[in-house]
Amino acid sequence: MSDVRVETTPTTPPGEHLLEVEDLAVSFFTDTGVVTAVDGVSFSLDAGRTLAIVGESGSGKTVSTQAMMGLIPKPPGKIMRGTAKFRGRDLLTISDEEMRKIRGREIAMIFQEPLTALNPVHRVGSQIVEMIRSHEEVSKKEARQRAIELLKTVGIPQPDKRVDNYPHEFSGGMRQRAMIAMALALNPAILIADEPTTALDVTVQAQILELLKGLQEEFGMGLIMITHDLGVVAQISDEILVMYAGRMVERGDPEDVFYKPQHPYTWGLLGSIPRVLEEELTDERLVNIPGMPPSLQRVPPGCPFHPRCTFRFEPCDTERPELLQRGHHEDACFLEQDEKEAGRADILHLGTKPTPKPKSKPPSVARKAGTRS
Amino acid sequence: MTTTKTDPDQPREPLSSDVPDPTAVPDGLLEVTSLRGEFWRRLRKNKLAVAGMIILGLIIFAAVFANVIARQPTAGFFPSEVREGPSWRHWFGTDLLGRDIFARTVHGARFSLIVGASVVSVSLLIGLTIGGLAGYFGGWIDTLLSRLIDVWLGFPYLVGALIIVVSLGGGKFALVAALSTFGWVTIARLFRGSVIAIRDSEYVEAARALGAGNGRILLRHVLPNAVTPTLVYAFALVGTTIISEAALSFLGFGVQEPETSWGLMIARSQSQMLAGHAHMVLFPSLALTMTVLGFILLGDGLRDSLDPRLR
Repeated sequence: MSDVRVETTPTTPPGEHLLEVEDLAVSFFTDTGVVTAVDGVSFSLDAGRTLAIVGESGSGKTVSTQAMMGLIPKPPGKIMRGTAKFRGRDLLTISDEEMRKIRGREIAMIFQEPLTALNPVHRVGSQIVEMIRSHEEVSKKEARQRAIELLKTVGIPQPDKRVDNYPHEFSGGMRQRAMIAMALALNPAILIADEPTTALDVTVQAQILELLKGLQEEFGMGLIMITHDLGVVAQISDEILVMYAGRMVERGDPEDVFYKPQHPYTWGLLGSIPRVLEEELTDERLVNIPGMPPSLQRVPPGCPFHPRCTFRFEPCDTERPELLQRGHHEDACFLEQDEKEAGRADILHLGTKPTPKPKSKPPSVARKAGTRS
Repeated sequence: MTTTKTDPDQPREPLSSDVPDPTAVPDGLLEVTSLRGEFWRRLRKNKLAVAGMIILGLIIFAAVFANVIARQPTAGFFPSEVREGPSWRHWFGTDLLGRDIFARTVHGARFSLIVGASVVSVSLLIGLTIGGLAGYFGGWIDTLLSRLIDVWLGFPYLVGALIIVVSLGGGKFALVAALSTFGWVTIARLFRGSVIAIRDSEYVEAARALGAGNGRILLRHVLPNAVTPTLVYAFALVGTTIISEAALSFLGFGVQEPETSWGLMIARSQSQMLAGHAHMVLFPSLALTMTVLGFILLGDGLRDSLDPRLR
């Protein structure tokens, strides 16, 4: 593989992160009002590390990365504030042409819908060739050879034949593999995977995750995984960022976020995952988060989660909690540490005997995280 | 692990060499099916499209080999043979000047097809460009170009074409220019709509996310996926253009004698209709109708065979 790849341009200045997003805010000015899709999101990423951005539909996880990549339509979209520094350059202020050169070459993206992400009228191989040649001056023959290598790398059998197939001759999993091959064609420093496994069968999901993880190790790239499924990213990420209504609500090591979640919203997310291991089996029903995510045109004042939060108290509906180091890791909740311990234990039945159910729960809405945010 | 032989999502661990690779697909199954082959297969199954192709094939053949097929002179004055009905010597009869109508009809095909093809090519070039830009970029570009299209559609087609032909001084070039001036409008409008539908598709988004520029996206991704309905319309437009050419020639603003065109032949012979010499109008009209029919049938067949959604 190494002989067919090129070194990408400058390295990160010492002491800086490969990618550093600071206080990003994105709004959409629609006919019916201003939609605050992302409000104050910050994160950083280093080579070889994986950041997972987790949240349900409309939490702003996709918009954050698309805004960073210059992919949101403007108008109606507008970046209200913030910076996104990649190797010291702010992606939000560079020209369209510079951004275009970065897309695919330095930062590549793959999307949720592998079934429709490939152009139906061109052969898979020629789409990869196309991608390579839009960034590099190489002959068609050379690019094709690289396409075959890439298809092999992502585990497509008989790549020398498959390279001439049309997308409709590929299965869903193969198409996602082909998309990954295309995204990796130029050895990008960062790969953003936006719900890469949501549209796939469960067995294929695991394979794709494994593939992404393996490729990350091989290529040493930074990986941003966007998903609504905490379970998907728990094992493969180095850091988890939980978003709700366009804001960050919790951030930390997967170990901490998964086993010691501090924000009531994260409790709800985790509580809604069925547990199948024997020692985890209880008589408890899955926990629903009551209510619905807020409309982003009218994000509740204070903590955006407070209308749905069973632990809300005095300042929650007026003061906005910032994401701060509280306890093990960062969260945005006013509860005291011991209250958090108790609440977490109550909802997730961790380490304690199942407590009696709360007397009356508000009518719960089935909360199946939707397709995309 | 239970999988079918062709499951591509199998792990890729190398298998020991004595075991046949279960992911290997039998050669026949992996035969690369080309979209073109698929397209021809579908087109051939469509009886009406085949009929259209046969009609057009005959007419194009006649146009190309006009000098071989019809040896009689198309110009001149033959006083001894005027206004004869169909016979062995003159299959379609003769006209007012005694010229052979078969020869003139066959030679007229040449002109009609050239005018039709040139006008539609020019219209496609302009229409796809304007419609593509309007649909792809949207915003003020779209507003501007769409209003331009609206204004253009406000002109009465034939009158507008007439004015242009007259102001350019007539002749073949003027005819093509005049008909193209109005031909592109509907193409632009149609193509704009298709482009808008394709513009936001996932593969365009994915291509952009991987660094494709606007030009590349337009030519590689949008055009091939959006062009089908417009191409089908363009085929029908060849037919209607030939009619318009005939109309202009009929009105005396197209081809001039002694050159020949179906419209001109019909125009010169109309007075003979009631005098019992219907053949003078009948044969060029028939040729005109058959050509238009051929283009429309083939256009419909193309639509059915090209539609990627049926695949």
